[in-house]
Amino acid sequence: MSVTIEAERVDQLLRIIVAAATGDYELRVPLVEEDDDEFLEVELGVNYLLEELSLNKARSDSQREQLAARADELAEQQTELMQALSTPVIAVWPGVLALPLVGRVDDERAAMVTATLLERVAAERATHVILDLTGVGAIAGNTMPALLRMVRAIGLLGATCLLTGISPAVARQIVALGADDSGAPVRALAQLSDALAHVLAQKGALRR
Amino acid sequence: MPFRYEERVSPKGRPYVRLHVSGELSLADAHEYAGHFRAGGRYHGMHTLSFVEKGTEYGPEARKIFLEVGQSAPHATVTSSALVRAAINLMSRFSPKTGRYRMFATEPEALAWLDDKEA
Repeated sequence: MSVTIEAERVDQLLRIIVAAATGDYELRVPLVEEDDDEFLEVELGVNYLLEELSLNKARSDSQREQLAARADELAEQQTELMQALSTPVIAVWPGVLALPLVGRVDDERAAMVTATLLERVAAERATHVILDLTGVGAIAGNTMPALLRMVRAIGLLGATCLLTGISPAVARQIVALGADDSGAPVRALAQLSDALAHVLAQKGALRR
Repeated sequence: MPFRYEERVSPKGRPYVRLHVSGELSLADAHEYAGHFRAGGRYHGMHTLSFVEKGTEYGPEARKIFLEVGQSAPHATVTSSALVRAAINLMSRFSPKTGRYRMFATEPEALAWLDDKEA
């Protein structure tokens, strides 16, 4: 079989194949009824191939978008879960909230703890908040002021904040910051149970 | 509608489907066609004479369905379009050669071939 093809048709076809090789599947070989020869089938075949590639690319893009959306959704759920786990505020007695902090506390976490705790204090009209630092290994250098500001904010809401489980390192940080001078009086007790007993005794005294 | 179906009888008394095809054939159109010609369909096993108009286009998803359907009986296509012919030739390359399908330029030669073909 021998077919004579105009150079222009071959050039056009090659241009489109090269474009497709660089990822552009949107071009098509222009087809005309007058080119009634075997090469027309080749040109149409290239167009069919491009349509298929274009269709598959669209499907793949759509799947990628769905995966990205799912990943965002999961990341959001994970953040929510982390927030919930990192600020486990427990109502240990009517009007008494306890927050056992575990792990490292940085600025971001301190801000999250503050927001959650203040919200709960206001919502439950808490009179006392016990912030247990037994599980806190370290507090980032500039985070302690944020925690002390939280203690002060709790005071402004009419509740008393008690710190328990303070490690020697954390104690040194508090002293270095001169907490009492900064207007955030820190009432500290050795253990969470001590603080609870103290609060309950205080509440009992109020009832009398 | 891209498809128009008519049931007719050939000069030799054989019932056949006369199918008129035009426009852009989508996936839904291909499914409609497949429903008629697959096993259990109204025209399954019937001789078919189709007229495919100039400008008829087979969408990428539709092409796959047409390839799957195959020919359950002799099918002659009449078209004057070089592009339609090229499209059908291309699709035919993926189908097994059964001798049940042919393209023609005119209706009389297509009908004569169809009339001579046993199912």
